Amino acid sequence: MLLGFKRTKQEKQIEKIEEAQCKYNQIKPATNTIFNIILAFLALTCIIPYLFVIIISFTDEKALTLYGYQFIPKKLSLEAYRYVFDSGTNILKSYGSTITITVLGTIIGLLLTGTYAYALSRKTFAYRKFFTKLIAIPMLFNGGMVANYFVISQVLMLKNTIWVLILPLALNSFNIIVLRTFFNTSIPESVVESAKIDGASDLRLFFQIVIPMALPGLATIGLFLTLAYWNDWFNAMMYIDDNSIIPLQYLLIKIESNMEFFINNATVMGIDGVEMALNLPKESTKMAIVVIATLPIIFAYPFFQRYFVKGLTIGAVKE
Amino acid sequence: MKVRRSKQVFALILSFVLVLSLMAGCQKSPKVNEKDTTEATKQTDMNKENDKKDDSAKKDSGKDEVVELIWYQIGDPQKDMDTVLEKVNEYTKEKIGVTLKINQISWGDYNKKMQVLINTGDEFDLMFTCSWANDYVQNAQKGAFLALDDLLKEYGKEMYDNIDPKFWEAAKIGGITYAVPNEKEIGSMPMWVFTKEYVDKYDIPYQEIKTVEDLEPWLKVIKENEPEVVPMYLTRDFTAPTYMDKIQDPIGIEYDCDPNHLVVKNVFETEKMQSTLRTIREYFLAGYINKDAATASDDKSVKRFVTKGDGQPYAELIWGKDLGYEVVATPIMDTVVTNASARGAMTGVSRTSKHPEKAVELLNLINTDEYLRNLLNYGIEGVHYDKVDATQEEIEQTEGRPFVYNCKIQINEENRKNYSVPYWVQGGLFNTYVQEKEPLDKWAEFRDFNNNSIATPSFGFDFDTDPVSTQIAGFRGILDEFGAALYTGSVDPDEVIPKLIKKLEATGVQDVIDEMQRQIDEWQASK
Repeated sequence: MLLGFKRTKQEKQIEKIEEAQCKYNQIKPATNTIFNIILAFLALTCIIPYLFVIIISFTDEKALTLYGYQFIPKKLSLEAYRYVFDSGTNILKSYGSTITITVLGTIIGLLLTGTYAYALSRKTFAYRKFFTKLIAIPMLFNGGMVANYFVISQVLMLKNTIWVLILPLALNSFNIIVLRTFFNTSIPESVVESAKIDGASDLRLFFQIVIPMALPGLATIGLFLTLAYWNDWFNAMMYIDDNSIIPLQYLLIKIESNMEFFINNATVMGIDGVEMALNLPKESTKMAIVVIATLPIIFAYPFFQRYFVKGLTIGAVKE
Repeated sequence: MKVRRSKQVFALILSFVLVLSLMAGCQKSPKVNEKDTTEATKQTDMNKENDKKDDSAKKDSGKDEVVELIWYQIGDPQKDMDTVLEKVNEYTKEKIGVTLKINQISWGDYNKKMQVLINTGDEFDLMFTCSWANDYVQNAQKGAFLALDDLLKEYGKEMYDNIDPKFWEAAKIGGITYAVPNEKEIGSMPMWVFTKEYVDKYDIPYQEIKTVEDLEPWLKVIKENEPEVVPMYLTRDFTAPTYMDKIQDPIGIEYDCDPNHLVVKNVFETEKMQSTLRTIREYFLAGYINKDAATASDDKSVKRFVTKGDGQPYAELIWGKDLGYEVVATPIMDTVVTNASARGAMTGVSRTSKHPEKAVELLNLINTDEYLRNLLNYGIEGVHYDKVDATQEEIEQTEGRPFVYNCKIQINEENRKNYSVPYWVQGGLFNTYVQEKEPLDKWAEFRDFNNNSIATPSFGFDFDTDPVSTQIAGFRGILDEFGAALYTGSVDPDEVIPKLIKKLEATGVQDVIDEMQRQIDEWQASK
């Protein structure tokens, strides 16, 4: 009884201290509200435009020309989505190729970046310096568009294949360096050693010990790669003439750049420009494509997010 | 230490060997096909080899060898291109032993893409070129095209005779033809475009209106009676009617310049442009012009009475379709032919082409063969379009006129989105059928239009910008800064034009004028 009392007294003391500490660390209520308002405002500036895009995509095209953009549209319509799903512009096909490119690209990219970075992070690797220099060079110089085009189309013969959309983006010096630093700091030499003593081969060591330990780092690089692949259109513009493997982003860029081209050349093209502009997708259709193009990537974020906070500090300390 | 060093060298050599073997792997496959088959080659390769042998056998037997031509065109890729090309190839294979592969590059990317293809010496045969995309003059000077004069005599005689000589004249640079012009409208015709509703309501004699000044009384009427309507709707890409061939914006030769003594001028220093801009300024102050003109882009929901457009015969049909109501149009000035307007659409043969004769032969066929031309233009009959008979009345009316066919085209609305190409990219327009709503003698009208167009005094002169390229580079920015505000009357021209001229002079406009004058004098002397 006495003992119990004593304990609760002790506990109470501890609680008090904790409370005091808590209060000590707490932000003043006023400041807290202000911060919350600022953050909410910032969040809204990000969310509202996208919400607006969604609303426009559901607005009737006629209502758009008559009343302009509105938050509460006068007339709703699914026409834009109907157009997207059965139009001749191959939107669904492009969707498929974007997904293929992103999934395949991220896997291949992670494998290449991971193994390269791991090898560089091992102090026992004999040619570390050479291979570090090798990746440092393309960070500083590159051959430029014409040389790139020449190598890819005429030496490697990748033109008009899906690989031209995957391989050029798979390995990136910056990613390698970030990941190498992560390996250096998060995987103790002793873990590697003990695995070796237990008889693990280098491959087993990499796939069963290193990868599970380095998940946050890999997830970050994975997100970088996923975004890069999902948003890439430049390679498609340069190397793809074949209609069937055009990714979604390029399709969108094309609509925009066509519009711009017709406006810039209105006087020289005259009536021909007007006639061609008639065939372009309408405003609501454009927005529908944007919505469809962004949705999957929005879902990818929460998946990566658990690793993301940890991953953000990667590369903060360089050794 | 020494051991480590040799290890490093060894690794270097190893990695080189790896890279080399990779490259060799890439080049191997075509080589294998050329050589005799070895025992080790697989069945598939055997088949390839056999095909190859068949081909070479054909080569020996005569000119039956079928070659594939690659053609880069501007325009959005079409879903049904492959099925149409299948039909096309069936026909061309038989006729001239050619199959065709068309790569359509969308409008906004065409310049960039062609630049890369040309600079890297990529292998292809035909490409679209003109004065406003994949620039004809620049590419010709750079050597991207094959000179066609000899080839035309042998393989393109028919089309050479068919196409208006004015087009061929425009296609020459320094006396050499580098591209086959696609016959369409030759001149540019700035027009006033009126909304028909108001023209009818106030009984406006629109065909008598020519200059900006002529518009005044009617703008006033609309302003007073139709408060909902913008009397003169202008947007940021508007340029005031210009009576000058702007060879290098803003410098050029005035249309009414003495043809024997051409004088290069800055357009903003000409009397005509200054008075036009003053009038537009007056209109702006009187409230005839929309206030946001300098920044607006065409908003179709704005009700307007008049606007400016660059037209051709029957352009009002297209404007009407674009706006959703009927319009009428009248030309602002006589139609003139400039280098830029006559080079509106052409097809060049690439310097890298392996089969230039076949390429010219193909262009010849497209420009003279009714079936092939319409197939490329409209797609497959029964799928993308149907033929409709023209009425007896119309046939009688148009009797004896050139380029009249006894049927029209009804485009299949359901399938049009799978195949609709810019018609003038592929070849001349005059051997295509007209569409249902168009007059049967549309192309005859175009021919008349072309014949009535007057060549400007500077027609045929090409300005070599090389000596003054740095000065010219500065112009764009200055024109962008002042152009829209000035043209739409948003600022006072008496105040802004001197400023503009001063800025242009600072970038060296006088050097460019002098250089152009020198070149034009030379050109005239050599004529």
